Amino acid sequence: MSELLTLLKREWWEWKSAILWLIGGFSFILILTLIPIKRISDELSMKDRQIFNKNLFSVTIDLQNNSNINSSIIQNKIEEFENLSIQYSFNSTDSLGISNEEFVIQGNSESELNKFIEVIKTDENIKITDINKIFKPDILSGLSFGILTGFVIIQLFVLFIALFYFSDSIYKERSNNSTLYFRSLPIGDHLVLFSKLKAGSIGIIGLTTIMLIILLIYAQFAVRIVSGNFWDIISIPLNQINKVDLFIDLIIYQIVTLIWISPLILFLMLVSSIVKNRPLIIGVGLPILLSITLMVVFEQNDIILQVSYIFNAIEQMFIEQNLISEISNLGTNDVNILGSFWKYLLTQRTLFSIIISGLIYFATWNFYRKNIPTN
Amino acid sequence: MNPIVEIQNLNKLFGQLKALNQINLTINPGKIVGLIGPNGSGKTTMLRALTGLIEYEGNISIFGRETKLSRAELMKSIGIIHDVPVIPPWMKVRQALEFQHQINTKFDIEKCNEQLSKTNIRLNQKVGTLSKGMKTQLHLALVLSTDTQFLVLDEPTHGLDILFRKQFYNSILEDYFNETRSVFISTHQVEEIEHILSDVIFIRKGEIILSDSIENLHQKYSSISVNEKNANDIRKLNPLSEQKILGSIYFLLKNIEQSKIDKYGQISKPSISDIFVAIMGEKV
Repeated sequence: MSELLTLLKREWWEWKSAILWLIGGFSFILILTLIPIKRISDELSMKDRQIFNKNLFSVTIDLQNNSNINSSIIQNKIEEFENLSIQYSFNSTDSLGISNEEFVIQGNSESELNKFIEVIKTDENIKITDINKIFKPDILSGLSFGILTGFVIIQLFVLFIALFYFSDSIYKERSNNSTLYFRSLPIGDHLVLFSKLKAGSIGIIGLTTIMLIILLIYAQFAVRIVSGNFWDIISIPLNQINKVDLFIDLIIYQIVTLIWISPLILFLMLVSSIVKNRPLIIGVGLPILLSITLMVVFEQNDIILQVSYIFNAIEQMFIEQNLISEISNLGTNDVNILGSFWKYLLTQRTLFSIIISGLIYFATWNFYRKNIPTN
Repeated sequence: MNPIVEIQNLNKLFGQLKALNQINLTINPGKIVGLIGPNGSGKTTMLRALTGLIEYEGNISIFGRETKLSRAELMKSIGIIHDVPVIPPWMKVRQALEFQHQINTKFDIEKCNEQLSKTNIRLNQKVGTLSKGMKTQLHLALVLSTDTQFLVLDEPTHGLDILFRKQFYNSILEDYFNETRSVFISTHQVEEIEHILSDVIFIRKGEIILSDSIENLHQKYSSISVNEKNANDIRKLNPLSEQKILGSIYFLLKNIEQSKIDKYGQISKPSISDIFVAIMGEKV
């Protein structure tokens, strides 16, 4: 255990300055954007500001895609309610591959919205899979979108940085001959490789979490500048969320994400242990070439779908846990933390990822022992 | 006393190239063994196989344990200095010491600090900013501060100046070597290490062509300088080499009693480099 900690510390020593620069640069860019926000805010009238704080309620209804319900039926129902409207509707596929038809209904009266929900719940033709209701001032809507988008961008950005880390992880030591140094010490090869995997995983989760916290702090300042007190605005929906659950979900979903992208991570390490130069270009280029070939020759977009599912899962977690406060007596599929966790973890995709990762790891370990120097 | 190293039928192939061919070798405690061979003869391959850094065919055991199976464990008792700088350039000297201290319980950090205090190396310097000589000094300090029984040196002074080379080997003798420990040094600069060796191995094209103690070599081989008049008499004895220097002719002879030739000229002990050049110059 202490050897592993020492190896992790070694990774930290090596990458510390890059990580600190990354966090510093990200914070600096966000702080910089507060300046135009302040300028725009100064030009807003008091009336404009009040619009931001206008209370709105909305309900998201998930319908079975294979039911004979369509938007016209919902449209007919909603016409009976004066203050309600369909904000948008779309067909979606979640990360488990289940397709839904989703309607977002908006209104400024909670009681009217509840009546509408009762009406559609009692209609036998409507096959509801999930209902979520939120209280949402307009600014919260923008804020939710901003934070969700920001999180996905952060996740993408951190994974992009992780590509550099994993493609360099073995290659760099081979190119400066330090593999010879580490292999001349009483440390097993598996422990070295495991420390790199673990350091990278901790790095992805840690960096994403830190950048998300920075983003939330930034959002607080941005909202204060535009609309007054941040906590007043988000306190109602925030109180309806179990924050411990939210935090656990955030970590768990990152772990699930890591398991799902582990074949790519290990593939990069494999390339890193084989090539004589340009590990990143080869490591990223080969899967891209493969996916293009699959698309053109076999009209399959499996690789692209696999990647998009990962981000879809993150988005779904946010929708389920952070941005939508559930009305439990209405929900047909309660948002359950452990339920969600197992739902995502115990899937064929997880099993497939672990098997493929195991095979690639074995190849990486073999090449790591054989290809000591790059020259 | 049990041997430190035992190698049996060691072979290593790189594709079609036979880098090591049927190597058999034993190294006992209290020996400084020189592995001498020209460039590309298989010295580095042999040392890397010996220390389990590359895969090989055959059996190599160090302290009675198979290198293939117990590399990590064996490295607690083996010190290695490679022919190229290997300590990561991004590491600070202090971090290198801390890392070594936490990884190997046999490393004495205070002893290492003491060793480094005799050099110009500062603890907060990055390894990448050190000169080649300083990098070797640092690695030597790390290795000498670890309580190992076997030291493997792969052309450790390659590219360094004469002063540093002398100092390096003096440190090995004074700060490391004793009768329970052994040192295995590979080099192609024979003259540099011959004064410290107890045994010598000549390697060529992956095969050991000579393995003997220095004492035996000096008994078996003799050098004689003669004038032109006596040269033909010496040539009849099938000398290994012949060299004309400043009017005298130097011959290297093997297994010839000195009493039979002392009438022809002046006999001297040949240097290991003379023997090496003569043997390597022979047709296989």
